[in-house]
Amino acid sequence: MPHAGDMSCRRARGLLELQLAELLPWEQGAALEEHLGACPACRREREAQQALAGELRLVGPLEPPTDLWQRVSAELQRPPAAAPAAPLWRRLLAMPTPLAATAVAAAVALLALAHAPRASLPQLPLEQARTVTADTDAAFYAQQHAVASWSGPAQDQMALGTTLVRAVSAQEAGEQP
Amino acid sequence: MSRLSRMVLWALTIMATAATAYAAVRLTQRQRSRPDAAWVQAALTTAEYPALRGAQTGRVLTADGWVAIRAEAYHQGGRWRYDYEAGPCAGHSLVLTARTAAEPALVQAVDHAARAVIPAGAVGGPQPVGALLRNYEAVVLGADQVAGRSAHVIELRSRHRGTVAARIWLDAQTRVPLRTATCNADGRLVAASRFTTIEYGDGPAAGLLGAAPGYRIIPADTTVEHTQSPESLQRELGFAPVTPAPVGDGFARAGTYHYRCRGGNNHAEFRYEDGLRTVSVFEARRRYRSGRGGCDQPGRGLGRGAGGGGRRADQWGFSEQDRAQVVDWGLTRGVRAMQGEFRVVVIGDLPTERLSALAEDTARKLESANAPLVSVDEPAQRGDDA
Repeated sequence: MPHAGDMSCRRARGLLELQLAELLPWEQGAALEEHLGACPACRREREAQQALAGELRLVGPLEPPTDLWQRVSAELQRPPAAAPAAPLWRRLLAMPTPLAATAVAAAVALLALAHAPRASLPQLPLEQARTVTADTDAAFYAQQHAVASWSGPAQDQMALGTTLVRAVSAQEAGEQP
Repeated sequence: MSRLSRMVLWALTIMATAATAYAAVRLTQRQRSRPDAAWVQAALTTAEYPALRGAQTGRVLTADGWVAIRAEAYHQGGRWRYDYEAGPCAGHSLVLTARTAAEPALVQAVDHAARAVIPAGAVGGPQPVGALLRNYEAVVLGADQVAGRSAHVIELRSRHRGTVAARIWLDAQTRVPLRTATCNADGRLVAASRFTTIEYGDGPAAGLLGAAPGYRIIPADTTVEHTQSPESLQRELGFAPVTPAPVGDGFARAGTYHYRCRGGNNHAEFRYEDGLRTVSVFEARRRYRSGRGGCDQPGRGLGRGAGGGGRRADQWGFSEQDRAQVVDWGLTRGVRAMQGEFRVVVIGDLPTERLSALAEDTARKLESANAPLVSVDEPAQRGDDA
């Protein structure tokens, strides 16, 4: 019998990402918690990721410096020839803030896309059982239809088998037509 | 802006660049691993898998509501075996050959408590893949992990109704369906199952897929024959069968079958398929033979409580008081229509209104096409039991 303790560390690390993004289905979450309970290394990994996520949240929105316009204006008014040849590292550091922010945003978006939860499929609506009278169980027809419905990989053989086994059991009990 | 802030921004930019490159590689790899149309088509029609054994769990909608099921599953050489351990079928096994194999699918149920094998029947050739892909769009939703295996998630969407028919998680290497979600005609989930463990190359023990030693085989009381000739079918049935009206978009006739029951009364089945779903139209003449066993002994129901007081069910489980009745087994549904001496049962995954219309129309045509033979109130008066 399989259980969540069989989860590999590699699988658990993948699920950690989903959990931090609050995209992990509850049943997988339970399996992950079971693994974390038995795996100190993965627990440390989660703590590290949680800490990192917290730090990123602390960064918050970046506000432009109050003297930005004054400095830009001064630079524009300065004759080009008079401009001192700033070293490369200084020019790089002077890279406009919006450009850096755009690069960060693009990277985050791409990372989110690359790490998008693979199983985040839209939920299928669940059919509710209708009220069925106790005497409506046409086993013979249900059995024949179940046998006929076997059509290949797209069929859920195990589920279809429940209809069939119940029908043939009725037949076995001598209640067949 | 302070120098420190700029350095932080610059560090972030470098990290963003690295992350972008990493993400691009990941996306490229994922794109490359997406199966192409040929892979999907082959996977949806194959029955050739490596030997395997595993455990499956699931939920299925039955007439009793949602029930949990669990089974040990085995496969080898095109033959499957399910040993049900939990759910309504616990204590039973199912042995079957996939329908897409070269031989017709054979289905046997095994009752371990009674040490009995019950042949459940056989069906004909494979569902044509052309019909499946003509009526359903196979959409690759992405990748997932099932039982520690990488799987491609394929969704089958009806081209006619626009609803989801099924989702299948296919093993990326072996194409084995690792997980399945089945929807009804309304696109609502009616069954879901998945492997929780699976091991390849380790097939079932010898003999597990064959006849169980020491088990008795319960002979079927109903034999079924595939027939193509309307004349021969009419001769066997004793009445003129009626070809039902078109079943629905995408469905094509898959065959006509003749059921010879122990009591002598016979039934015709017109079977329709759209590559994934099946609709069966059963036609029979109501001829009661009091005091004799067999197909048409009145009041001998199949279901729980059948034949009891109140709304007595007939041998098919339908209540005689209702001229037309809908039953719902969860995974599928059916409609019975009565018209004079004739009974029509339509079972399949169609909207209930369509099932009802089909059953009632066929029953009306049956009555029109055949002269009255015997009154149901005067059983066996005409000596036509033979």
